[in-house]
This record gives sequence, C-alpha cells and structure tokens, in this order.
Amino acid sequence: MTVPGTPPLPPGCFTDPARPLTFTFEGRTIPALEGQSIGAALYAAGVRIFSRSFKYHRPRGLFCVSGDCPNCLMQVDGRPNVRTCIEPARPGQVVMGQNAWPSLNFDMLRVFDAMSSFLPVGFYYKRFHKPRWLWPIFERVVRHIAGLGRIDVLGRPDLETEVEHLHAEVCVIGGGLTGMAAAAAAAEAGADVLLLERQPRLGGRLSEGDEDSPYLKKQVAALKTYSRIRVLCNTHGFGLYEGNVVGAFHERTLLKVRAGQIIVCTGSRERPFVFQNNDLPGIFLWRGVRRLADLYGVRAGGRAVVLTDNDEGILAAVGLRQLRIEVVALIDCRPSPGLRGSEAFAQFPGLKISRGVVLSARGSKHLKAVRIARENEDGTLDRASEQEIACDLLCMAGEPVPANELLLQGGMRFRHEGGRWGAERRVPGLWAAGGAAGTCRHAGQEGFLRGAEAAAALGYPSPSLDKYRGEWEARPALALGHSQAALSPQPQERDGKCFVCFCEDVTAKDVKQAVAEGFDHIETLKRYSTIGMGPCQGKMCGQNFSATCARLTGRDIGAVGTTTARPPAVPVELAVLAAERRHHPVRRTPLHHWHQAAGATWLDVGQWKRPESYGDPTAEVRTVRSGVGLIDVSTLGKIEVVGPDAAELLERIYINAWADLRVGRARYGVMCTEEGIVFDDGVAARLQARSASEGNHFYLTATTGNAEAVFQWLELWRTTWRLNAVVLNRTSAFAAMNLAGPRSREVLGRLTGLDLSPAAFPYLAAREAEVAGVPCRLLRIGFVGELGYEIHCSSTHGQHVWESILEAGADIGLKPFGVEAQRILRLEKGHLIVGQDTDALSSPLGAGLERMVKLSKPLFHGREALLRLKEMAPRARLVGFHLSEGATRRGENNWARELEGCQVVEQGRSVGRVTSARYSPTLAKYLGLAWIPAARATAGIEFLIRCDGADLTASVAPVPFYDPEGQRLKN
Amino acid sequence: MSFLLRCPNCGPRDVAEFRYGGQIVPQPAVGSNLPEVQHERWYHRYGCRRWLAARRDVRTNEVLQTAWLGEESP
Repeated sequence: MTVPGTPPLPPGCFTDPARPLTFTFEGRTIPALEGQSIGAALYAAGVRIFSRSFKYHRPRGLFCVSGDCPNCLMQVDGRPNVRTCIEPARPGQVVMGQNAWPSLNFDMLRVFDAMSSFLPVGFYYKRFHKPRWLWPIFERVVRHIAGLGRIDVLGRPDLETEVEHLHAEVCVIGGGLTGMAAAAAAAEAGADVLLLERQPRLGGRLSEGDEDSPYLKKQVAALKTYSRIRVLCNTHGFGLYEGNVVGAFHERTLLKVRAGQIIVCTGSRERPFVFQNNDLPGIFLWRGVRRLADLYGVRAGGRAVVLTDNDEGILAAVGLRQLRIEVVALIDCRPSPGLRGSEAFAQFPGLKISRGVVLSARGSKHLKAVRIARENEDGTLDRASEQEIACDLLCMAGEPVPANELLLQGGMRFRHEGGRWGAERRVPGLWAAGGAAGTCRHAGQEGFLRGAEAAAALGYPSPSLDKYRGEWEARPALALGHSQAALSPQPQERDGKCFVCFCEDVTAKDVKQAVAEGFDHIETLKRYSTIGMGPCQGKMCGQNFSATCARLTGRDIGAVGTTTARPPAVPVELAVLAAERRHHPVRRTPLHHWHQAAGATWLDVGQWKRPESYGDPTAEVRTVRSGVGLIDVSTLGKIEVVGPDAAELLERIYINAWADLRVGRARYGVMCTEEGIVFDDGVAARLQARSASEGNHFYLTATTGNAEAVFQWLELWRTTWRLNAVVLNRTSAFAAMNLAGPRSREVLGRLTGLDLSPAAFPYLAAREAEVAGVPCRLLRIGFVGELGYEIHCSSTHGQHVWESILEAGADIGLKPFGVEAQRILRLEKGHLIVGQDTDALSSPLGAGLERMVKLSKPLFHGREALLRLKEMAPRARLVGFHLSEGATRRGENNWARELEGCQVVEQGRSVGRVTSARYSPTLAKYLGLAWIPAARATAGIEFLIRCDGADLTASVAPVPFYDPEGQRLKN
Repeated sequence: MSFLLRCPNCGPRDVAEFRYGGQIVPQPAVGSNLPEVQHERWYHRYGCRRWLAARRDVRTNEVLQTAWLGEESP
C-alpha cells in the first residue's frame, strides 16, 4: 500500500539488516530480517489477512503489534496460536494460517457471518438442544469448526522446557521508562534487583519513535552502572502468586521468581473504538503502527485517518507524517475544545482537526474508507454531516488504559476517578508505577519513587527517597480524563456489527441483548456473552466492556468495575508450565546392571525399574515350584525402628499384635489409616538383642511404592505420641533377594555356616548370619508359597551375594525369576497386593484379613473405624475365583491379564471388579481375585465378568488355590 | 500455593518442599475444614524430614506460627 515514490523506512531497531533470512507462509517464500517479527515480514510482503475471527470468520489484520490482541495468531512450525506480530522470524520456519478453510484469503466458513442472526449471544445455551437426536450430528460439525489452531496430538520431540527458580529482593516487571527508573532507585538504595522485560531490549515506548533516543541511551547506561541489577529481556511475566512469586517465561524456560518486593511497570495500552466493522485489516491501534515502523521497519499504509479521544491524537498525526504516511483526517470525538485546547496542539497549529465520530469502516478484505459524522451537543448524530473518507489505514489513538492484569492478580484495587483508573496502593510488597498504575505523565518520577519505597520497605534507606517524593508530589496536576459519556463507546447498535470483544466476536448489540436478558452484573455478563474469555483475556475489550455495561445499566464505570483477573496474563504454552514435570527420576536396584546383562524385560513400579521376566515367566514359575529360583526384591521398603518404645509404636501402627513377638521371629503385618482402610502390609522382624538395643530393634519391610509413605507415617506417630524410638528409612541401603523353592535350603546351605535345619531356622524366623562372606539378615518367609529365604545385605555387596547364590545353585538348576512369575506364584497362594487388590475403600474386614484385626488392643490406627465397620459387616468381599472351562479357550494363556480391571456384572449392572487374574501353569487353571457383593462370596457361587463386551462365567473358589495347608512353606 | 512455611530447623521455605499432613484435631474426629486459622501437620519432605505443626489461616495462607510436632505450645 506504499504510495509510489515514498522512500522506504529505516530498518527497525529490533532488526539486523545485515542478516536477511527467509521463511515460508502457506507455501510462499517470505524474506525477513533477523529480529523482525513474522507478522512484520508478512505485512511487508503484502499479506493483509492474518487470521479469521472465532465465530464469524471475518478477515483480520495486524492490530496491536504488541502481542496483546488475538488478530495475528498463526500456526508456526506446528505450534498453534503463535502471536506472529511479536514472534521473531527464523530461517526456514513454516508459517500457516489457522481457523480458515480452505485458506485465510478465501474462507468458506465466512458463511457464519451471514448466519449471525441464528447465532445470538449465548447461542450455545439456546441452540442444538432440541430435537435431541440431532445433537450427535451437530456435535461432529461443531467440534470440527470450534477452536482456533490445530494441536499436533502425536506430540513433538522438541518440547525441551526447563524451569528456573530465581530470588530477588526487588523484582521489577516491565523495562520501559518507569521500570528502569524503579530498578535504578531500588539498586541505588542497595537492593538486589531483577528486571524483567518482554521485548528483546529495554526501553519500552522509548524504543519507539527515535531509535537513537539520547534519553534512552542515558537511562540504559545508568542501569549498567549498577551491578545489583540483573536484566532479563524476552521475558514475559504471566502471573502474580501468593508469597510474592512471579510466574514468567523466557523462551522455553519457566521462571519462578520469589521476590521481597514487586514493582509492576507494565505500562498502558490504547482502548480500541467501537463502531461498525471496527475489526478489519487496515484498522490499527496507533501504537501498533508506531511499533511496526520503529521496531520492524514496516510502514502500515499510505493514507491514514486518525481517530482519537485524547491528546495523543496530535502525536499520532505528527508521528504519521514522520513516517511519510499521509494524514487525510484527524478526528477528535470529544466535545469542544478537545484537541484544540491541548498543549500539543499549540506546538503543531497546522493540523486540521475534525470533530465527530466514526460510524463505520467500509471494505470486505481491507479497509477502503471510513464514514464519519458530527455529534450534536445532546449526543445525537448530525446526519447531514455524514461523509465518507477514502483511506487504507485507520489509527485508533484511544485513551490509554492501565495494563494492570498482574496488579489485579496480586490483589491491587483500582478506582475510577476523573475519567481514569488509578491504583490504590494497599498490598504489602506490591507496587505499581507508571502507565500500569494509571499514571499518564511523569511516569519516570513515579518509577524512582516506588523503587526507593520498595527498597525502604526491605530496610534499605534510600538517600534520595525524599527527593523522589518531592519531585513526584510537585508534579503538575493532570487535566481531567474524559467524562464517562465520552469514554463509553456510543455505537449505533442498529447499524450492524460493532465489535466489543474481538476474540469472541461479541458485538455491542449482543451485550445489549444479554443485559436485557438479565445478565447485568459484569461477571455474569462475561460468562453469558463470553466477552473477555478469548485469547487476549480482556486486554482489548476490558475497558469497552466495562463502559458498555455501565452505560446500559445506568451506572458509573467505577461501580461496574472490571472482571476478576487470573493468571496467565499472557499466553503460556502448557509445555512450559509443565517444565518441572518433564523429568522423571528413575531408581535402579543394586542388581540393575546384572539384570540388564541377563536380558531382563523391564517393568516400571513407581520410580523403580524391576525385571518383569528373563524371557519366559511360565518357565520361571515352574522352576520355583519344582526346584529353586532367585528374585531381586531390593525395591521393598526397609525401615528400622529401634528404642525402648519400638514395640509400642508397631503395636499402635499395625492392626495385629506385635508386643508378643519374640526376638529372632518375623511376622506379617497390616497397617490401616484412621478410616480403617488398608494402607500397607509387609513383614517385620525382631532382631537379635545387642547390648544397646536390648531386643528393641525391629526391621520392617513395606510395599515397593509405599516405602516413603510408611516411613513418614511411622515418623508422624512416633513424634505425635512422643515415643522413645528412632525410625530410619534404609530402603536404598540394603539389597534384598528372595531365594525360593523346595531346594532353596540346599543352595543356601552351601554359602552359610548358619544351621538351616527346620528346627534351628523355622518358618517365620529371622536370623543374622554371613552369606558368601557378607553379613546378612535372613527372613524365612514365603510370599510365593514355597520354602524360601529373604536375604538382605548392604547394597554394595548385593551383586556379590546375588552372583554367589546363582553360582552355588547352578548345578541344580537355580534360575532368576522376575516380577511376572512372582505375581503368578503369589496369586496361586491368594496373597493380595496392597494397591492392586485393595483401593481407598478396602477395609481389612472385606479383604480377607479379618484374622489380622486385633480389636482387643486398646489403641491402634483404624481401631475406631474398624469397630464400626465390623458392626455394619462388609458389603463387598475380595474373593478368589476360577474361570469356568467354557470361558477359558481363548488361545494364548497370557490374555488373562486383560481381565484385571474388568467389571463383575449382575443383570447388566456393575457390582464389582477383577483386581488380579492370571493363568496358573501349576494348576492349569485361570485364577483371579475379585471384589464381589458379600452376599455372593461363597465358594462355588458363579458370577459374570464383562470383558470386551462378552460375559465370562467365573466361580468363587477358596484361597489359597495352591497348597492350602501351607505345608510347602513350613517343611 | 506458593506461600512460605518456617521450618524450625531450616527456616522459611517454599511450601512445595513440604507435605501436608492434615489438620490436628482430637482423635478420631475428622478435620473441621472451616475458613479459619487451622492447626495442621506438615512434613519437611525435601528438607530436614521432620514433622512440624503450623497454625495457618486457610483464607489467606498466612502461617502464623510453626513448631516441632509434639513440642508446640497449646
């Protein structure tokens, strides 16, 4: 649109003319300069339609050029909703339009514009409800059309995000004139300052206008003299949280800044005007035109109309002339004298100012002309004065509104006085300065003052505090802002679409209708009309929304207020927010590398890696049942409890008895929460008496995933009850392995001098002895249901002991077995796994652990609840089951695992669920555990399991399935 | 939540270092869960690994007092 013969603008101050690059836009190659934004490069290449609006698919062009509005969202390298007006262009980028079909330039979905009378405000509450059978058809269409960009659901591998925690005495957000002043004053007083600036360099609006602004240079040079100031550019603050925490991001790094004092200097932004067709390519905020030219070196148009309601209009007109853009009209919509009475006008007396309002913008894909008219004294239109002015650029220089989202999040309140919003400074540790506080002039003085005040609040007396305060208080009084009438948009509602909210396509007419329907509070009005709920989160529409609501309900803007501000104030990628969750710690047992070398397949259990099998779990099961096997159980929680009150602590934590456990004996125990729910189970042993412990030394094992929780639980109650005992979490300190099978005694006998005879080392005994020369703790227990020894030794010697045992048993067929074989083996014994066979509703009474509950103990966790539960009798029980013959012919044996989690059904209704299921090679049967109604929990009763839509018949069977008398354990 | 809790051993720390351990109420009553100053257990998970008691105003997340659990003044 450049008028022929106009010399090109100098390159923008963010760009590097020496480093050209290219990227592609919808298949076209676009030239750009390094540092130039994608949007600016596209504009220079003649692109005018940047996006299509959410609902009506109106064409939209660049508008704010600051990342605040929704007009330039595009898909960049697969990332949706990138704000291209500020996103720097990079070589080879692939940029695509979004929310348009088939293309941005020709969008078929524009049809919704013509259908707008069928899509009134709140239409999603009104349409598609009747007839109900139509909804599934609508839903498919609506889901396809709704939303803006497209997310690559397959995920991208380059989601490299990090998190950084920063600490600052003073954190200044916004590095413009005000922010630099605040940082300098705080640092001068002696505080450490962190200064966050969203643009690539400091200066804010000082960067605009004059690239070599001597004032800016002086300010930046002054900042550099303070070593206490750390500046982070390209950093966007998006949230203020309790405890004075600032959420920000720098490229793909999430920053969590904890600050003693926060000074928000985020400036102001212009209020757009509301008139017919007010969001059309070619219509800009004035500061957007300025930024496009000064930061990126691109001229927005050739013939401009300026529309203003404040003195900045003069500066806009003068600025446009500097940019060699012809100003065909300067329209002041205030009543007389308006601009003519301003100081600025006195400096530029040659400007021709028209008083009036813009009625509409004409053009289908780009602005062609604006229609203007005068207003009479009583606010009505003087129709005779209507005229059309041809132009290709409309600059809206509206009254600046504080960019105060962060302040509002932080609890700062604003009052509306004299036509302007002003901050009421009441929140400890939070300060507002400059445009963000509603200060139009003398923002620098306010910055200095707030910086010094923030430092003083930290205990750094500023030598200049009084000087800054004096300067600030001596500032000349500001002329009043505009009356509410002038500030409110006066759209001609009958004249088509006057957009209040650009993101969601909400017009002034929609707002009027919503108010008429009874939504007259700004918060309910927002929810009903969706104003302010789009990508810009009210940055563009907030002021117009409050003003419109005030006018329609006959109240003052201050009484209407603004909607609640919540994080994020600027769009943040979810990957950035999730940065801390990207790293998952992995724990490896001391035998990990042995398993790896042996070709184990891995199973993730909590943070641990465990060998699932070494190839054939069924063969591993047979080895354990007929000979001997060895499994790594180092992941078990291992906790020592030592001290005079150790037995008392166990007595109160476990539901079964412990005080009577003799030295050298071990016992299975179950813990409950206060609600009587199974929390954990495991074996604990009372170790041999040494002089110090006098037999008050217990060694506990806890479930793999629960080790830390059990430790904390013991520690909590030891502390609460002030028991004289020490609780130590030794989980990582010990390696543990389980040698199991009828021939395990034979293997172990080759490595230890300990008497292993059944009389000397019976079932459920605990011993301390050397195995393969290493001091070990030996527990004779049998999770898998065979003669077995659990051997614990220090982690450093784990591999030596493991290898020594395997070597000692090699000649009789000793093989390692994995978790899968162990799960089959324990299921054959009917042993439950806490967390798999139990959940947050499982009491020991229903889970088949009734015998464990020792209600005769005076005090233990869960006793009160269990007393009540016992009276009520459990509604569901955990039972063993066999699958009936007919149901088992499904080919591979491994399929039975799929039953886990399946519903138990009765007359089509879910009445329970399967928690464990496997094929037992030992019994040649499909076995499982399931929760079923207590009334049906009798051996032999049949029930149905729904799996893949088919119902399989199962029958309740007594547990253990294998070796019910436990002879094999005890021999 | 991003408030600070003062651990009697480690000093003021981000709440993310702690695990919440429920309200301290006479056994076996359940917590009151009212908008008021609550007496709570916290565990310094990523610090000294000890349990402490805190008085916290759940409306503002202001922590008024902390002490070792079992040693707090009533």
